[in-house]
Amino acid sequence: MLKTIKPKNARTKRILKKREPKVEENVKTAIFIRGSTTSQVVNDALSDLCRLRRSNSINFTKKNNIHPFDDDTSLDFYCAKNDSSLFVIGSHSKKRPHNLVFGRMFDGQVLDMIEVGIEKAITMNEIKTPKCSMGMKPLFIFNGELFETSQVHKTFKNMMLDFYRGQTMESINVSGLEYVISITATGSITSSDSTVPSTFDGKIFFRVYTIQMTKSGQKVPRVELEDMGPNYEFKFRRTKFAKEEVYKIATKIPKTLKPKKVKNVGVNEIGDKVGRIHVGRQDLGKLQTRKMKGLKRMSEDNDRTEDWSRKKRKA
Amino acid sequence: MDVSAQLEAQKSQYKSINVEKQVPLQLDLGLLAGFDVNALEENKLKAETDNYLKSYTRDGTQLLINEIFRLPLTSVQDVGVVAELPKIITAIPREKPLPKPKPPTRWERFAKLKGIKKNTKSRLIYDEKRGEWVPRWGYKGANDDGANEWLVPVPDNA
Repeated sequence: MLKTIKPKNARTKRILKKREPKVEENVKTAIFIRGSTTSQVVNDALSDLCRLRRSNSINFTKKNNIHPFDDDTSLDFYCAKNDSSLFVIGSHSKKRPHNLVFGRMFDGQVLDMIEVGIEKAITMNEIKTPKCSMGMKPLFIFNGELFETSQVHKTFKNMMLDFYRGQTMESINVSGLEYVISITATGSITSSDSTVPSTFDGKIFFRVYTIQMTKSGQKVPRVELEDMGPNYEFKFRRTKFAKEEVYKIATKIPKTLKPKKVKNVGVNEIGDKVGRIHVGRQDLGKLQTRKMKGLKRMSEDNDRTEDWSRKKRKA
Repeated sequence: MDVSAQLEAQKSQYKSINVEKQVPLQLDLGLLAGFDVNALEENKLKAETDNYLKSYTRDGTQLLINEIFRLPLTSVQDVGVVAELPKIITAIPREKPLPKPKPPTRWERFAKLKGIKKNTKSRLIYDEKRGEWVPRWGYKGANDDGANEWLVPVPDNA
C-alpha cells in the first residue's frame, strides 16, 4: 500500500494539493493496463482507446499479472500511484478471448467494473480517413432502449460518458464539435441468458465518426459523418456493480454546487413570472390615501339641503 | 415583395436538416449526449451494419446539433460562435469523496470569538475630484498629494 507522503518542499506540496479531494474535481485520469497474456487485437484496442482519450491517460506497455474480478489490491495500488480513477484492463485467454474490463474507482476502491469481449475490431489506422484533432470534446449518441431498461447497459452508458467526456466546460465553440461516439445496443433483455444461441443478440456496436458540417441554407448546418474508428463489436461478460450506499455518496452534489432556490418567485400557468410580496399587517382605517376634494363629506352641505327641503315645504 | 418562393427553392437545393423520430431524443446537452430509445431495424442492421449505423447515427447527431444551435449563442472574438451549455443532468460519480470542512485555525477561532472581521481595502477607490475610479496608491493614484500639479499657487509665506 502507498504510504502517505509528508511534503518536504513546495513542489511536492503542490502535487499533493492537486490530488486531494475538491468540490469541483479535476479531469479523471485513465490507465490502460495489459494483463498476463494479451492478443494483438487487445493491444490495438487499448492503444486506440487511449488515443481517443488523448490527455490524462496512461498506457502501460508491460504486462502485469492482474485479475480484477478476483483481487482488488494491485489495481488499487496502480490507481493510487497514478492518481487515476478510470481503468481499462486488456487480456486474452482461451476462456475469455479478447477481453476488456472497463472500471471506475471511488475513494481509492473499485466502484464498478464491466467486462466486455471484443467480437470484431477495426483500428483507427486501418480506416484511412483524416482523424479529428485530439483533445476535443466528443458528442455522444446512445441508440437502443436497452440503455434505459437494462442495468448493465445503464452502467456501461454512464461509464462511457465518464471515460470520454473530457473537461467540463460551461460553453463550447461550435466549430470544436468534431467527432461523435455512437454506441448502439441490440438484443433483448433476456439475451443475458447464455443458453439462448442467437447470431445477433446482446451486442454493442461502438463507432466513432468525424462530423462534417455542410451548408443547409439555414443557420443550422447539415451534418454528415465520416468513419474515423476505432470500430468495435462488444459483448458483455461479467459485471460488478457499485454498492448502493457507495454510489449514493459518490453522486452526492455538494451544497455549493446545487442550484439556489429563489423564494417567492414563480411561474404561473400562462408562463408569466409571478412574484409574491409579503406586506405586514395594515390598519386600513389609518391608511394614507389620495385626497379627492369633491368627495369630501361636508356637514354644512347636508344641512343646507335639509334647509332647502324645509323651505320648499314652507313655501 | 414575397421571397418565400425563392427561399424555398434555395432550401430545396440543400439537404434537409429535419429528422423524424417516433420517440424524441432525450438529451443531456451539458455532456453533449443524446439518448435514442427508438427501435432499430434488425434486418437492416444484420444486412448492412456499418451503413445503417452510420445513417442512424447521422440522424441522431443532426438532432443533437440542432439542439446545440438552439442554445444561447455568442460570437467571441477570434474564436467564433460559442454556445452556452446547460448543467449536466446525468449523475456521474465523483472520483474522490467530498472534501471535509477544515477545522478553524487558532487565529480564526479568536477572531470569531472577538468578532473581528477582515477588512481588505480595495485597490481602486472613487476619486471625487477626478470623478473616476483610480488606484488608492501608486501610478495615477488618488493620494499623490499634488506633487505633480502643473500649476501651483504661490503660498503667502514665500
